[in-house]
Amino acid sequence: MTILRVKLLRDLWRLRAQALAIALVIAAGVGMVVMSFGMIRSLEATREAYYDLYRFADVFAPLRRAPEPLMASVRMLPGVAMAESRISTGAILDVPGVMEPVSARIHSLPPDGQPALNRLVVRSGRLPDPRRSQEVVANEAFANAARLRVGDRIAATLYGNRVELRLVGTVLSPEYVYTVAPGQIFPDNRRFGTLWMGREPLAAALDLTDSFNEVTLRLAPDADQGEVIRRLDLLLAPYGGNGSFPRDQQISDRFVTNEISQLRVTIELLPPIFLAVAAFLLNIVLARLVDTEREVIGLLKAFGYRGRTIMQHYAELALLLSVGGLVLGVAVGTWLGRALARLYQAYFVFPFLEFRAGADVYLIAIAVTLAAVIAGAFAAVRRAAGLNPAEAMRPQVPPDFSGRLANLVTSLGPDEPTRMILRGLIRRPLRTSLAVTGIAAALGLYIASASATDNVERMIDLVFGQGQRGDLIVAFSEPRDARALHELQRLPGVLRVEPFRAAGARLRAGPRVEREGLSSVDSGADLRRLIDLEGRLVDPPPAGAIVSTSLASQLGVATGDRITAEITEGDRPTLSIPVARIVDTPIGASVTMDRRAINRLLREGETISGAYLSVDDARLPRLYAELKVTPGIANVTIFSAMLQSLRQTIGENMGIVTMFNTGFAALIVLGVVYNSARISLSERARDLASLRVLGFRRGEVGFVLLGELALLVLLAIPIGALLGIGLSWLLTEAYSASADSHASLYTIPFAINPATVAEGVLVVSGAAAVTALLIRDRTDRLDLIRALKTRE
Amino acid sequence: MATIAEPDGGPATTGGGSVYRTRGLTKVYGSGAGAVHALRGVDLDAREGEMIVLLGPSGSGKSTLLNILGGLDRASGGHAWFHDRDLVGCDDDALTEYRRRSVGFVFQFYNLIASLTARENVSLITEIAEKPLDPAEALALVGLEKRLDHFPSQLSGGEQQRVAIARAIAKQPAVLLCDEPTGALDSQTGRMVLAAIDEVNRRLGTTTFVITHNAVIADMADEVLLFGDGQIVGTRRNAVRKAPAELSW
Repeated sequence: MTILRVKLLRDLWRLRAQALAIALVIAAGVGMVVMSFGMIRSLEATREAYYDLYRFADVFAPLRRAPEPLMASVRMLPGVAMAESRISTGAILDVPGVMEPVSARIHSLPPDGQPALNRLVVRSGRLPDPRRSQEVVANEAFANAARLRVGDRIAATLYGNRVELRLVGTVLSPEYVYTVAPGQIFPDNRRFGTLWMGREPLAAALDLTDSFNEVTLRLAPDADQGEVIRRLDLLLAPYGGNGSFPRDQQISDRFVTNEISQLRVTIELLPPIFLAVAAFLLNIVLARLVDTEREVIGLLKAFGYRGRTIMQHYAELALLLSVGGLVLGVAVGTWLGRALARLYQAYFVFPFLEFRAGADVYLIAIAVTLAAVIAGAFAAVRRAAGLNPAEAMRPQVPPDFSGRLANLVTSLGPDEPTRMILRGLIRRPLRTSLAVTGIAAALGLYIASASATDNVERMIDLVFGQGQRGDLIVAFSEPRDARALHELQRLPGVLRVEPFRAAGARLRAGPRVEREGLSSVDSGADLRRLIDLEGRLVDPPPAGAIVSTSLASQLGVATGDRITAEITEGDRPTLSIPVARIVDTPIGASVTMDRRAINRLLREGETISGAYLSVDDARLPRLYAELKVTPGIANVTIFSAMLQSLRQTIGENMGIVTMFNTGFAALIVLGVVYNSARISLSERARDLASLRVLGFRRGEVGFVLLGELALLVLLAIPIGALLGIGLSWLLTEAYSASADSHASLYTIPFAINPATVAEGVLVVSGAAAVTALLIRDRTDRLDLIRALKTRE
Repeated sequence: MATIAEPDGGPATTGGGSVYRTRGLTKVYGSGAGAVHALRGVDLDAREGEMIVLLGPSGSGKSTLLNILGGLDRASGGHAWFHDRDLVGCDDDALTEYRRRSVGFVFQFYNLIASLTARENVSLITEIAEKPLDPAEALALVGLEKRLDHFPSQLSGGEQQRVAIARAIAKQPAVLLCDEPTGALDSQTGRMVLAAIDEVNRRLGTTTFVITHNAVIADMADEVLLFGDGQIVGTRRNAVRKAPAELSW
């Protein structure tokens, strides 16, 4: 081993504490990138594999009723690879142990059990025996949340008839990766479930024997989806076809896509910033580290070592300092990526996980880190090697302290140590600003990471706190006369009811089509109000529609344009609706109108689709018991339950990602603060020892070093806070911009809780305090004689 | 012999064992009104194998001259021939090669690398030298055969300086340049260090320059160059070189 190598290893050992801090910063940057990209790619690969393996349908076509022989014609349509008919319906369930009425979607299964499309993954028990009319399977999430076991009995109100069902198994379906009640966007697995049962008993209950009310299709690889849908609609129109729609408008897929694309935004934005910040910090740290070796570099040059050899030596030092962090980052990142992907697998209820990180991610993360580290080291070596060896070995020229700024310091600094601190910072404005930038960047990352949950809290506040202030929504199976409101009013515990009118529709503007419903608000209503992203109340205009910004951009319409709405219920009229206002709403795509305006457009009397209820909590059990047996109710949504399950989901998923991000950010903060202080210490060891020789106490000497650190942190805090807020805003903007047209179910508002900023400041201050403790010990042990004997 | 030379002459006249010849050597730091003239035209001839002491107060230009002769710094004007090669015209690479092959340095503050042992500090040089001494042999030459594996922090100041001397001579350089080698040492330790330098000069025949502001040390030289204000203001030749042990200050 050459002596330079020996020096290298010894230097590495000498720098072990700093090396550890550097390793943590690298590990945080690299780990973050590897973890995030590993997770997102795994999720995407898993989704694809799941859809493919379990033959998730490409097109869904609901209709009123068609005879089975029509399926032959469906299968003949060009571009159709597979087609399957089924019966689907809504129902209200009475589940033992669940006080509230449970809404359910029920699908039929073919005689041989497994459907050809949207195949089921059996998780427990078995599929229903088609000869036994009562047997059903339920989606696993619902069964778990409602504490249903195989063998349990469930009462269902199906088409006004009460039937007894028996659970024989739990399943997963690619169609219900994300399970939400119709018209809702947040899941409540305890109160909404999906059931599958034999086709014959379901047909008998719905009077659909030898008929079907839904078609699912899988397309040939080269099929023109739009054309297939057009022909299918033509074919099904006489049978009450509701308008077929492609997979990407299917609610579960929309949600999964939405979630994954939001994750992707976080991942494409934050981790690269993490890596960039880590790289930037490493660059500074390495440059400063090598700067302290200036004299050694001069010496090596004096002895005739070539510039190239010296460069190589320090490049090796930089590499060795990074290698631990790289290994740690790659290992921890891969491990966490896998763990996170598993977490999301459970959240999305994918039956398996395909883990995929990709060599490119590893290579890019490693290359960026090494480039930053080596560039930092090189810049410093070049600086030192560019000097004459004589000059390099001479202490650096005493800086010029004259000038206006320095005079200001004289008036500001109350004593010599304070002036030392201030002049030390002013003397090297570039170094000071880099150190401040480094700490500020770490703080910014922390705040941006931690603010993710603030945005969601704000959305929850807008949607539930201000928008929907009722306790329940009751939706009827069919639109009813407004007198039905009185029936609801008379139910036990009901304090207030407000009706709504909603209608499914296909919205067209020019060539663009979106499948969205019309929904109503009443002006002056109390339980359901339209609130924009800024939290302002929006009153419906007497005519015309309020269109959400996201839907307006999908349809390409502006205020004053008209939207064609093909209503998919009743007499299926086609309406032309003027766009009265475009509003940024927290909940994605919507067309909202005054209720009576909808009634007028549909040429109906005062007709309602359901109502918002505010109820007396004390009488809830009686109300729920009544609702379970009231005919004509399609589903009941309970806001408190939904909110609880939403918060739980956020806590379990977003919370964990946020925790990782903030953890990594905290590591970066600690690494940066510690390294800044350590390098300052080695740069000032001689000054500090001189102070000690002159009779300063340990505390007073510590003040000079730690005072500088404190000042740097103080300067960095406001900048970091602003950076964090800006970055968080950028993230929200990116969410909105990225939301793929069909996936935008909700819009995350920009919000930062001051507590989050305070928390970030606390973390930085904590890191500084920990550093101060670690460094303090070193200032206490300064070797005075040696420090004075050797040159700086 | 080293003398103030006639101001004409060129490298052709360096026959007869001349190592260095300088003519009109100047060095200016800075420019304009703030310019510092560290050397104001130095002419010298240094003969092979001699011990030359540069004596003068701080700031008189001794170190600047030594740095230029050692290829650590560049002159602003004039010539400085090492044998028949003018160092003033050399580029960085050429100076590096020159230092690597021909020059050994000893500094006032030893400049040992703290993370390397005595032997390793010497090996640092022998690894890149063409005909090096064995590091242990070089250390034995300065009386440190028993301290081979000690780190600088475990050595006294005098011992550290002797390691620095061993390091400087281990490559068997043509010249040994010592800048205030005893400046940081007490007189007893200083004499030990000077003895090591003297030993090297006598045994290996290395042309040796010693900078000092301590007039007593001049007695161990063949030739003494007196510096003042960036110039050689006088020269003295000792009939007899005193042994370092005989010196006292």
